[in-house]
Amino acid sequence: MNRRGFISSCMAGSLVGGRRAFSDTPLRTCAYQLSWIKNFQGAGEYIASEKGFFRDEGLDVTLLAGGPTMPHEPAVMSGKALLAQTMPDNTVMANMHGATLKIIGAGYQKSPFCIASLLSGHPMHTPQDMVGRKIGVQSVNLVVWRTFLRLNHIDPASITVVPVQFDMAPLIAGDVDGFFGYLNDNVVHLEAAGHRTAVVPFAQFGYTLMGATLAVRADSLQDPVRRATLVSFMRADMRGWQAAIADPALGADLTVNDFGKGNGLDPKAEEQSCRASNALMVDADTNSKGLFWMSDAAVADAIRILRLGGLSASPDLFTNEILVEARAGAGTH
Amino acid sequence: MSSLRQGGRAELLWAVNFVAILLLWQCVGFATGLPGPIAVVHRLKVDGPELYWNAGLSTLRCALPGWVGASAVAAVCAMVATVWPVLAPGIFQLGVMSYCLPSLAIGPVLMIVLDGDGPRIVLAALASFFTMLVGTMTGLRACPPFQTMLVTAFGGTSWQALFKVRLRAAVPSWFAALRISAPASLLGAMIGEFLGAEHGLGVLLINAQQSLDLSRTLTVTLTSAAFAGVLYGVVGIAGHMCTRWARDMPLNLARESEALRVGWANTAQRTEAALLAAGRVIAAVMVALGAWWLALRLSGVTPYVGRSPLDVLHYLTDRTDGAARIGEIVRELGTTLLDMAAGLTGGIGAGLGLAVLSQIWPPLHRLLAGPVFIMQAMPLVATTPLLILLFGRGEAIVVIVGAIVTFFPIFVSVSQSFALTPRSALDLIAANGGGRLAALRKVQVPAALPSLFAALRITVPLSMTGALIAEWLATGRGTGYMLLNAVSMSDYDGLWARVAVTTTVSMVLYGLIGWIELAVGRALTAGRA
Repeated sequence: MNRRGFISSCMAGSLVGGRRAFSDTPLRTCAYQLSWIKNFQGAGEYIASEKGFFRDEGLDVTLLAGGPTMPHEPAVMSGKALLAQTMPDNTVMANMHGATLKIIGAGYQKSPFCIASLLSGHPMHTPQDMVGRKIGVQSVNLVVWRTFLRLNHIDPASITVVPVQFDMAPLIAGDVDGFFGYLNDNVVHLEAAGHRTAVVPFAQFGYTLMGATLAVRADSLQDPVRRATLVSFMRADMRGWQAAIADPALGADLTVNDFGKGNGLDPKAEEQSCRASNALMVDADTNSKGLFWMSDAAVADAIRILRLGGLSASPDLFTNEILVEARAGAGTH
Repeated sequence: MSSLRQGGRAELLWAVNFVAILLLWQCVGFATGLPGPIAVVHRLKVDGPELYWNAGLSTLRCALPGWVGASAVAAVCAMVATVWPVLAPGIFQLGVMSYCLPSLAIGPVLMIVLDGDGPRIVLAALASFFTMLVGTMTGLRACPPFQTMLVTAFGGTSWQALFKVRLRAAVPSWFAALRISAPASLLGAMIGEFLGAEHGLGVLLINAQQSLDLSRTLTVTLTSAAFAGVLYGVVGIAGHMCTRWARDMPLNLARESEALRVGWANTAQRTEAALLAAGRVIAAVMVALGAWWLALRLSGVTPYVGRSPLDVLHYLTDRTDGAARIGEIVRELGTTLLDMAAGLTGGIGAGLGLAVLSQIWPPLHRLLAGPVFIMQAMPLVATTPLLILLFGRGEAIVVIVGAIVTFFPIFVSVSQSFALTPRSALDLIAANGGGRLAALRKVQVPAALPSLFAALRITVPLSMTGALIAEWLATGRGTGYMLLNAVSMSDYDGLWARVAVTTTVSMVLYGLIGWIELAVGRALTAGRA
């Protein structure tokens, strides 16, 4: 921890009564697997780390960077990370192949996915606009893509799918007409680079599946120590994300100038991404139940959509128990 | 005086070379919309050189331990193989296996087994191990036989011969291997960064590509080439200082690995050789399966990811899905083999063509040095998306990516063979009124065939890499695409099955070309006798 972090954590500790900040209890260590290299998607965790929220809970959290070719579920199953930010379809597929994972919260209350297209090219606003077009889809998102087409009764053969990765150059070059991406990431980068963008937001066309879900090993819910660590983590993490949502500039600043420093991130784009993420994270449910909450309706919806994609999901995959405990303990600050 | 003038001329040639490349690059930039040198310099000024310097240092921090570690392990392996020659083929076989493993696919496994910089260091090590092994083994055999005989005649053991005589003789070849494996280790570390890293050129690249910043993307790839160039240069200077007593000797990976193999093959009669070869194949398979099983046991990786040979066998022989799975893998492999063939054809065409052209017009050889080095030191994961913009996603991109990864060993091997043409043969052609073309046609090209074969062998695993990358990033078909797909689907049985298949195919093709070559060589010498 750097000096700034230490000072702010002491201040935060003294302000809230210093749960553990000054005690001699050694910090419990745990690792959190980020979904991508350090960018805005970890803003809440950066704040929780920098402002001492994790420390207040007696935690020393390592934030593990992800990357384009890195699958997240194995990091949790192997015990390298206690929990990981991932997507529900990936977690279900892992479970279908022998993993034993549970989802304990959802960062995004609705799907962040969209098909982005250029206003100057072939702009697309509805799924039907995609028929006859070339769409760039990453192999990791093919299950989501097929489910989305099925939800909208579109014949997969009527669209040409082109393999792409995270680089949107094919869209700019006209190699593809549309690009499978994130509303709060790819669209922001396109606009920041001066490309006016049209989107087909998946959530508006039936694919309401929540995203940025947190996966843990099922046995971590049974193990008393790991369970307690999870509860503490979520309590601090919720504080971090509340701060990130209230102040997108703060999250962007920590992303660009601290955690992702030296990686050439654009401050304006990161701040815009933080703002765009707020729209995915906050809704009526989270206002009443708190961030990451997975309502019964959302879970039922998730299972319906996952099954439509040919994945075998059951309601016990999702559990709010850690969130409930974290909220119950939050008042003791 | 004349040497001074020549020195001046060489420098002038370099300068002309440099300016010509920049001009050409800028023209390509204007024509295609890709950033030219002006855009790169501007980018460097806006971003500040520290951004690239620091990212490069981060990558180097993983590449260096991997490179040094691989060199050390290779040195130990080579020494053991020299003292106990019976182990040599087995050790060499493991080296070939490390060379044939698709790093793209084993990355996710390394990522969960190792902490911190571990995965990147191991990937950097894997990228340089085979070259170091060949270089060190060749070096340890480089001393004249009478020197080692002298040691043993005086009652010394083969270990003493190793330490007193062989190690000293191995230094030039060792430095040569160290030099050419430096860029590879840097690229290995960058592939590792795509699995998740805090900092580094790979991370900078991801952000540049994501924010559609073409000029920064290109600046990062050039930075990686520059770092590789500095490593290459530093090792070259160090090698030169350590081996003033020896002639500066470039390592020809193709020729040396060939010489090592022929050394073992000649030790027996024909039937015996066939039996021995069969035994070696079985041994290689056992060693590979054993290494696979042992690696899983030792690493304690979760069985959900780490699938054993038995698991994969069950996956492939499953009563309901087994046949379909095998069919799928075979079909993908068919595509990949065609893509490999396309890439190899491009590589042979480019390598042979450039070697012939630089025989006809010698300055070309020097002119090519810079661009060829940069091409070898640029990360394909970064350049392939740029190449797609230029050449599309069809057959052309498969040929071009394949050619980029394979043409270098062919070019080097064939050029060296041309350079070694006996003076007398050339004189004979000249005396009979033949020109350079006649010399090439009648003497040099036929004489280069063995070198071409030798180069082909070490090129086969490279062409597999090229095909996998082209399939992953451009065409979306074949084994390269399905490897990544298996990871996204959590289908780790499918992943391991495909890793086993691609590694085996590379190794079998590697062996097969050797057999054909031996057979052709025998037929030729038999005809002569």
